[in-house]
Amino acid sequence: MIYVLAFVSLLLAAAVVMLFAMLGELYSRVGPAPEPTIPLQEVKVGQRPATWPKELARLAKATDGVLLVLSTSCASCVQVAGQLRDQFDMLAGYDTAVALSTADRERAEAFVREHALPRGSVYVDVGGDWVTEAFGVQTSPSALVLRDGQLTSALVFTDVAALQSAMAPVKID
Amino acid sequence: MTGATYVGVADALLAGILLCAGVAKLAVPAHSSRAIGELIPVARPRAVLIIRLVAATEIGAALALSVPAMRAVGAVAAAVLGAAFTAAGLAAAIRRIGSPCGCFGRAGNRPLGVRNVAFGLVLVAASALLFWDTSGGWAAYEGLPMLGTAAVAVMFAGWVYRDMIKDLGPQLGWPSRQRSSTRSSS
Repeated sequence: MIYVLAFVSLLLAAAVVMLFAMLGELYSRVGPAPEPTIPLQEVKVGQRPATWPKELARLAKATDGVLLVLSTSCASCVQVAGQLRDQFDMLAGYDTAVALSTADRERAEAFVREHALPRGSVYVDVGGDWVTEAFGVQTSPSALVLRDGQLTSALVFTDVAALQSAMAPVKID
Repeated sequence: MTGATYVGVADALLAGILLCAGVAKLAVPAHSSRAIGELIPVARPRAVLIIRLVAATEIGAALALSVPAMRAVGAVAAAVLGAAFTAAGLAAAIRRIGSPCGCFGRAGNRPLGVRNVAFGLVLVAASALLFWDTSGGWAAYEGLPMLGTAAVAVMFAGWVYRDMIKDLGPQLGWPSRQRSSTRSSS
């Protein structure tokens, strides 16, 4: 009897391995699941900054805008900046700009050059002072969704595709 | 641990890994057959057939190693497989074959080569140990070799596909480590 049970367990193990192999093949073809986006709690929803840097000025008037808050010293921001390369306007229907927090302006300029970000749409925010004061944001990478210059929601993300998926319903509504 | 326990563990490890490799290659022969197709001049269907034969031999060897009365037969089959893997790895390393091994059904990013030589040699050495062993391993415990093989096969598959499990687990509601990032402007 014990041999039968042991043999059945062997068959079950083989079935599990086969399932893993098939799922693994499917996974390698479809690719990893996008990183989830998380609502950012610390922001001041409804806030409208009194002053805008000239690089971000068009967001003040845009019907739908998104401000991506990146930092020169966060690894996920490097990943996001890499995804933005050559497709900065990938968030269809949104005016997009970047607030790049940094301790060192030269480092920020190097970051912009390295990832080929459009210089006219990137505000170098030394110390992160402006974005913290304007929206209360202290996390990056994060996306601040604006309507007519007013903050309506904010998300923490590490993958632009996931951000697109998360923002699509926001835009439709 | 006694000598018999060591042999029992080695037996289960060897059989479990062979079972995992065999079943995975049987389910997904594409990657291994590509590597074989580069190594020897055969058409794709024949390369797939060769991989299925190798996979069937691996499964047969694993089953034989799991039955104490047939352990010697399983050890011989495992040694033959080990020698074949060593030869294939050597040939691939010399000819700089770029295709991944696909040994466990996955493409991976490591080509067929030195690692397969090392694995093949370990397989031959472990098989020799089991062939000449006189302690009997776990033969005294009914069904334990098979249960050990099953447990090792499942755990090894989990290790092979650990990145997929880590990635998909949280999507299914499994607990995961927080992966948030906090801005630092330093």
